Amino acid sequence: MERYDGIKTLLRRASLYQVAYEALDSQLREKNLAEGTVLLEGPIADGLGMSRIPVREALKRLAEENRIHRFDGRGYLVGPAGREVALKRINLRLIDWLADLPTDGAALRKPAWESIRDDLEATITSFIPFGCYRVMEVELAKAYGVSRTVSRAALYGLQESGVVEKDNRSRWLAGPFTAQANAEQYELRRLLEVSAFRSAAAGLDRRSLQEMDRRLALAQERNGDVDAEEIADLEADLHEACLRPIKNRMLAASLARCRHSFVINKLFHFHVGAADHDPMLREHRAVFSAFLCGDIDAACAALERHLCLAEDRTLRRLKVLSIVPEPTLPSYLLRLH
Amino acid sequence: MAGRSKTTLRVLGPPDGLIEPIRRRAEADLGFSVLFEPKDGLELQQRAVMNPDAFDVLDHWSMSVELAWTARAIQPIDTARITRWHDLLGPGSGASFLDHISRGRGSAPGRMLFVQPDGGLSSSQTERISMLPTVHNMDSFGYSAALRGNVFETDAQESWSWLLDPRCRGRVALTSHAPIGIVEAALAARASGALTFDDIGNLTAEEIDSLIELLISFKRRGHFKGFWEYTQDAVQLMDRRGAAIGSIWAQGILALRAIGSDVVYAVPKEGYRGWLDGLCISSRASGASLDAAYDFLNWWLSGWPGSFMARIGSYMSLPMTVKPYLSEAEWDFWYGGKAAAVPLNDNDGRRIIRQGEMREGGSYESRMSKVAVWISFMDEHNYLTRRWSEFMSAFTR
Repeated sequence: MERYDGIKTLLRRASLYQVAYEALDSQLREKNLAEGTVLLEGPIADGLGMSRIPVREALKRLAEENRIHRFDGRGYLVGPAGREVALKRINLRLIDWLADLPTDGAALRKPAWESIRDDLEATITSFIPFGCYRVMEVELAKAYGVSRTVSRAALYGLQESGVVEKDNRSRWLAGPFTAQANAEQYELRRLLEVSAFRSAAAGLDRRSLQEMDRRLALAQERNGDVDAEEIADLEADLHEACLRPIKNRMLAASLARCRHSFVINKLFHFHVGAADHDPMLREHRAVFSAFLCGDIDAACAALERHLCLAEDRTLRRLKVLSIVPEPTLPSYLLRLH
Repeated sequence: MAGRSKTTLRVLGPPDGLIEPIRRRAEADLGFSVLFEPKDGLELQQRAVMNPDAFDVLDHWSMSVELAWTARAIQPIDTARITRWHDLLGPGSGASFLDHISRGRGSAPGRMLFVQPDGGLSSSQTERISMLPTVHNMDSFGYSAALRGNVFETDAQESWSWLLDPRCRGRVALTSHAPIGIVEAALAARASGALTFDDIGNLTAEEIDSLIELLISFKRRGHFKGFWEYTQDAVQLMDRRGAAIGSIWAQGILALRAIGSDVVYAVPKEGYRGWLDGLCISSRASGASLDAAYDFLNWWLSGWPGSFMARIGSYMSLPMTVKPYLSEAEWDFWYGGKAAAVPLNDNDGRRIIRQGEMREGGSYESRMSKVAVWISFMDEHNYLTRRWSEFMSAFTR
């Protein structure tokens, strides 16, 4: 129970990721999910009433703890890796995910703005290649059915993660994501992420990295024929999961603000479709391969090289986005230029 | 090429390049059907990137090659299958053709020509290319001869600044194509002293903002008569709709000359804006359509197409094959920069060059050496395209 006592405070202002993790964790500990049960982030997210991103993060963490594992299909299987189990598919939407969590209502009462943040962030970032936008608080509140206080809190939350900023007229602005911004973010990442990786290396679980490398190898075997979600997962493996052990929260926050390339690449895959993933897969494997050989210096050098090459690829894809018409604006976004 | 094949080759490109006489001659010479799909600017790029299965050959500005390549809409071209590739590299193609197209500011076509082992494009020679360089030219702007002496001094040296000269207010035409218009506007703004740029071929976001704001302020004052997407629209603007000066391509100038216009094609002291068309092969082309694509590419270097394009003012990457298809007087005028020994006609038989007239800018080599900047696929291309759209739609009634 010590663990629960320790996290109750966290749960009072729990991030969605924390809620998702605790919900899955409790279902696993209570053995409500049999070994071999297929876990898919979409239905779990529906069952929890949240977006997929926090569920994805929670599943990854449980996989790193080897309590669930990847298999050749989509999603994860309950149970540690290495055991032959029969697949079991159940309706994940019908599970009462929060049933076994502490019944302290306050612990689960997270700020309302957090419940809209993920969706709002995903929407706003999808527009940043198309120009500079003003986010209007009143319309935002109406669109999400929340108070203006909540909409403002959500925007302050996005300000921390670098998605929006306030101009000298106190207007909330987002975008444009320019080639210059791309260059600046990658420069910061080269300066910070390589050091962060080196710091995190001691805390990385070898088995988790082997699993990440295996997923890359599987994608390579399919000649890079992977969908956008899988690419996002593979990117998150190296650039997020591998950095999770670092204790410097400012460093982590700074890096979190420099990941608009993920958005650009995702939009490119969505709108244009075709992409050559082989270079990314090779470069990621070079990092894992060096790490698994115990050569941290080589792993860091490979990561730095990857970031240089990825910067160029992201820039080229950003330029191609010039042919994509601006999507339909939600009511709370106004294009300034 | 004997006999009639059942293949239909589909070519996607701009109207200025996909000309009906060329299509008919290609069909006759190649022995298979050739279908042209004319589109231009952004629409063409969208079609190429989103629908590589809708074309076999893409014929567009070299700057679009990088865009199509990134999207994997085109496949590498094997130079071993280009019959005259070594002529293109060698002295027979004229003094260092590849050197010429690899120099200068902006997206010099030679710098994105060769496919590298890592999948990138550069000027380092390999055996695979992204496009076959074909038609190219050095553009400037056209103006009514009446402006000399009335607006500009009789002996004033032509300058890109004339496009933004307040004395031309209400009579200026500009192209609506963002990657071309932005370069011409930048040349004009720099020449007029209004703005400076670190690299005129690769503007920063701040420089784009300054330039667009300058253009919008000119538009607010009614400086521009209109904007054109197709050459025929440029011709109309300058023939009937009151534009006396404006960006226009060589084809447009010659079309105006053919109907008796007094239009002059400037030789700006700041240099030309260069462009080059490349023929690319769709990533989806295979089998018979791939063979037909290579036949079409080789046909473009065979001579006749270059002669047709010469009479509308454009050059070919392999002039040696063009020469036999032009008269001596035509060759001397269009490529040699010499005075026309006899009056010269366009492809429709209309008189466009008077006896004794000289091509503005001189010979091919002389004009090529004056390319100040190539039409560009700048780093901020996405940003500039959006901001250019704002300029286009500002104060539109």
